[in-house]
Amino acid sequence: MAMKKKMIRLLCLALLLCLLCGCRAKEQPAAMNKTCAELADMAAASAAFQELADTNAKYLAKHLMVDADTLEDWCLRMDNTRATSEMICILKVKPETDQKAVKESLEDFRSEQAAIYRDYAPAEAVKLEKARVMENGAYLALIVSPDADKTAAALGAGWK
Amino acid sequence: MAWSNPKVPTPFPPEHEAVGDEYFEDAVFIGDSIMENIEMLDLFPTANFVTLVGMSPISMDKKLLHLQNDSHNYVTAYDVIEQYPHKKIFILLGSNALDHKTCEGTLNDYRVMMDRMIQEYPDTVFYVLCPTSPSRARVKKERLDIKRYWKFRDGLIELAEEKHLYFLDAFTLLADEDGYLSPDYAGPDGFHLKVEGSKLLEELVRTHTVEME
Repeated sequence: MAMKKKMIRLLCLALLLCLLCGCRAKEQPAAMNKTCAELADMAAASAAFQELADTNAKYLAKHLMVDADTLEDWCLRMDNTRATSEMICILKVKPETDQKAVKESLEDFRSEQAAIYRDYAPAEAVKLEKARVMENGAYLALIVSPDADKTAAALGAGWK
Repeated sequence: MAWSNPKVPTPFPPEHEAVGDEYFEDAVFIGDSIMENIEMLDLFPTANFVTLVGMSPISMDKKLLHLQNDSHNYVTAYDVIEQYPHKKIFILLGSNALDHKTCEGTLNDYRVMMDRMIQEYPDTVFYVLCPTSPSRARVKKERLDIKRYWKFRDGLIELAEEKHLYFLDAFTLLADEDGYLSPDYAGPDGFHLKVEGSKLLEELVRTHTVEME
């Protein structure tokens, strides 16, 4: 009888541990133990990007309309000659930030840039039209890549 | 005519020691992708920028930009200038128009733009940065007429003289001995600038300013 009780306790404990692990996995998808810069490196390695340079918080605020103070971590790399539209933007939003609003800002930037490049360099507009704002937990990504499919795959599972 | 310092005749301001960031606190830099590159590099951290990839003198009134902190209201470049203090305005425009328009047509658009800004901002000092030429490789690839860029420089000096603008010769600064954008400063497409080129532009600006008193 004592043995049976012990077994039940052990089973309950195991179940509890499984549940806890399950919850944690939901909050923190597998790819999300990486910094934004590490994710940007993974994206950068996936295709033949132009030379991209780290861009500052001022530019992030003025052109992408995202305040760096609302982010836990971020990485913005752009072709700063502006000859091409290529860029890698990975943001990790703070829990108290309105993530939907940040996502909308990225989408606005993408469509604005597509309109600008349509007249200026149509091939760049095509890249912007293929780019999508992706989300994975608290992470958001806008990547304008010479090969959007390869780059999306390189980021790993969980992005939508 | 634009405001100019009576002690410093236009169009060529003399060279001096580089001024600090405080000089640019009431400055606005207007331009195309080349100017946006300068903004991204944060070479003038205290200045405000009104830039748009592909902008030209005529599109100042046509292309739409959003106001700062307001992604939903789109306005012209002239409207964006209004939201910043603007006692000094630095302009780098013309390259995009010269790619497909005559020198005379581009100069005429430039004149119209200047007339409008001088009228709206009579107490502002204007600096015109001469656009650089394309590289020899780009001229060959795109079959561009390089003489158009050289003529534009001459025309811009005349306009600066006539309107009392300060002319900053970015063209000569970044050109090789034959008048093409030097490979030392040209980006991969032969038109945009490497960081080294943008830093030279910064130096040109900081060492050729005039006092407002």
